[in-house]
Amino acid sequence: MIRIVHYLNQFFGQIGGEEKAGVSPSLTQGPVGPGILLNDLLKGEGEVVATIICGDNYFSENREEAVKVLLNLITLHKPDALIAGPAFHAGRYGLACGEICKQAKAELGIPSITGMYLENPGADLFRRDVYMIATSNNAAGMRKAMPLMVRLLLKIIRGDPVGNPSVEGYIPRGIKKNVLSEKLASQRAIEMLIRKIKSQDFQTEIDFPELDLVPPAAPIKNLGEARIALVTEGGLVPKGNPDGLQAARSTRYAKYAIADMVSISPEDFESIHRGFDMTAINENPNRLVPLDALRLIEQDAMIKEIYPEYFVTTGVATTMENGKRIGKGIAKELKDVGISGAIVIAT
Amino acid sequence: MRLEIQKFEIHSLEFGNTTEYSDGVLTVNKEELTDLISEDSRIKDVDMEIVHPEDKTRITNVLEISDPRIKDTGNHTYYPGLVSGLFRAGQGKTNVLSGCAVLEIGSIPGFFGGVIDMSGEGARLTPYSKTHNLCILTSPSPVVEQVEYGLALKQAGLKTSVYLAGATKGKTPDEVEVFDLNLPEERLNDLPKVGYLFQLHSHGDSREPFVYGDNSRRYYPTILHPNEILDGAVVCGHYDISPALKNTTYSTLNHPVILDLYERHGKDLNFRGVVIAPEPTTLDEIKRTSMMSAGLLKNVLGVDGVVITKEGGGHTDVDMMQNCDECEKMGIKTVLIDNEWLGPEGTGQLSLLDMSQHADAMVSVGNVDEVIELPPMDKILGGERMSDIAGDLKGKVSIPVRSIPNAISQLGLTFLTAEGR
Repeated sequence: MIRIVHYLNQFFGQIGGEEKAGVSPSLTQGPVGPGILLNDLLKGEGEVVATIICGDNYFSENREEAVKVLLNLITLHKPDALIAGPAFHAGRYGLACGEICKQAKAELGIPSITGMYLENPGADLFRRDVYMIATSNNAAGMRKAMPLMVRLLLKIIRGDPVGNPSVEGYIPRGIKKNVLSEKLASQRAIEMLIRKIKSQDFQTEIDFPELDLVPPAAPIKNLGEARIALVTEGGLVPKGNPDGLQAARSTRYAKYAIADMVSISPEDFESIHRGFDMTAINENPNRLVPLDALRLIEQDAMIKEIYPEYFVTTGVATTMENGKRIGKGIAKELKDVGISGAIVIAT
Repeated sequence: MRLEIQKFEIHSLEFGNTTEYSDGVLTVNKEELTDLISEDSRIKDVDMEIVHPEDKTRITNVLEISDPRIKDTGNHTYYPGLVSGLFRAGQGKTNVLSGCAVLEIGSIPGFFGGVIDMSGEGARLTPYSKTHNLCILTSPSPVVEQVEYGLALKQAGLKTSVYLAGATKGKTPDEVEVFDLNLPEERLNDLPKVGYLFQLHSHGDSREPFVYGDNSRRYYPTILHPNEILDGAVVCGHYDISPALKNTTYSTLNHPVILDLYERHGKDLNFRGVVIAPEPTTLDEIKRTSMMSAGLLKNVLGVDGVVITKEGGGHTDVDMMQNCDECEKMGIKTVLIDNEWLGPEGTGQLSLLDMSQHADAMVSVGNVDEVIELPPMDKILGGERMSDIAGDLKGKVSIPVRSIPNAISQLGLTFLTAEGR
């Protein structure tokens, strides 16, 4: 029999409403509230051996401490798995469910699952780490959600392959794996096209995410007082690439001194970028990092000074996440030293 | 145009005293073929080996792949503009040895080869683990430049392809497939008109296919009869790019989109034809080619919908999206086939380099970055090191799936796709 521990908040745990949101964690034998439905659905395969109830405010205000206590309580019953919620649209509850499931998996090695509404803040934060069944936005969806949670959890416990989100009912985790389809891609394409021509429904295989539109910073008011930095994704490095900057799929950036130079010499620098023909850059690296032109501007006192290092990464097949991380890293360094503007040369 | 592809099944491939085909066995005179290839001074050493499905062999530095073919009529040659003089491809009879492939293997800085395991986990992902492979192992002559070595390899591979297929001259095929778009009006009248837009990489020498022997970059969008593509008018010339991002001659001549459209012609669609278009390197040129391609599809071929494939890296997602936009603007419905760039864990947030609000119908051929664990093999053929794969290839090795030829197939000749998990 699979031993399940069920995590609930103060409301579903039948302690009370918002006024009881500060209650500290407590442990009860057997199922409570929606745990009874859960227990029924597990019949034959497993049982809810214990229920942990924790106030939503207690969790959100004492996160680290709460997690410690909860993990201890979970361990007491040596469960095979943890089910949290479902939390529907309750934000603090969703965050708690996501977090406790993530920690149970990471710290205790216990498979876990939760459920919540797509727009629950816990979904965005934890969807990658935890399988969460997509529920309706209120508790009326309990009878629909719980069976899906049980079904998916049993699969995970048994080590059966988990199917795609629409088949299993979970919120897309933002992870795609290569699998073998039953049909050739060319066949799927032609079938999709015929359906599209006939205005029938079809399912695209590649979605585009929402992109952040970053509002530009305000223009520099006093350019003459400004310290300007040079930043590029063109992979320009000292010859021999001493720090082994990746030529593609970059995960980091580097910076190199240009303090005593009036121009970047092709004797000393080269581009390792794999995405375009670098011949022109390697003949004259200033075509990529325009130090020569910027020095003239600096001499004319149009800007106060050029930062003594330029920043570089290689922008070939960079993932969004790595791009964001690299950008944040460079921006922080520049901000910390009082740079007001950067010239970012893209290729 | 009427083309008859006559298929001769291979169930065994071996070296022998004469080059001949009989009862499904192809015997190859190694000395004769070696002499043929050695005529080219751009190649220093030539060796060849035969590899069979299920062998515990890892073939490395695989640069290009073709199947053995020859015209059974006329001049008994193939690949117009490359191996033979010009003739119109796509008509008459063509003999193909199926179940057999010619692999061009070699290494020079700047070229990116692939890895083919004939058994084990890696074998599942490539069709070339199921073919009897004649591996042409070459090394470049010391004075030869990269581009010239690529051209030499091309000649070696194609000459071998024709030479092997020559053994079928006058023999009876196991199967004949007829390709003819002519059908009575009534059968085509009410069917949706579908076309295919075939984007050809055109980013320079060693990075583009040949169309009738000329580099793809010298072409503007134009119409080819599908038979021409099935019969050797377009040949792979890429050596300077990862296996996932190019279409081998083998897959181009066994083109899945064209074959599937032909299969359904007169049944649930009217296959109107093919537009080939280069993938230029500047946005201005891309705007021109996309406008012209859409024009040919709409105003000349009169299609209701088009399947679009691309060739190459992220750069060519721009071409694909421009083509998509231009077609949709003309009222042509589009479906795009593309691979995804999602990092080794599949967690990348952007599948493609470019996007369009019109690209609402896409087929994925998988995440090029996903890593696959390959088991150790008993034998390595082609060299123990490769330019963009770290370490020694003899034992257990982890490689990205983009390094296995045709695991990722931009033409759609694959069952591999990427799904949310």
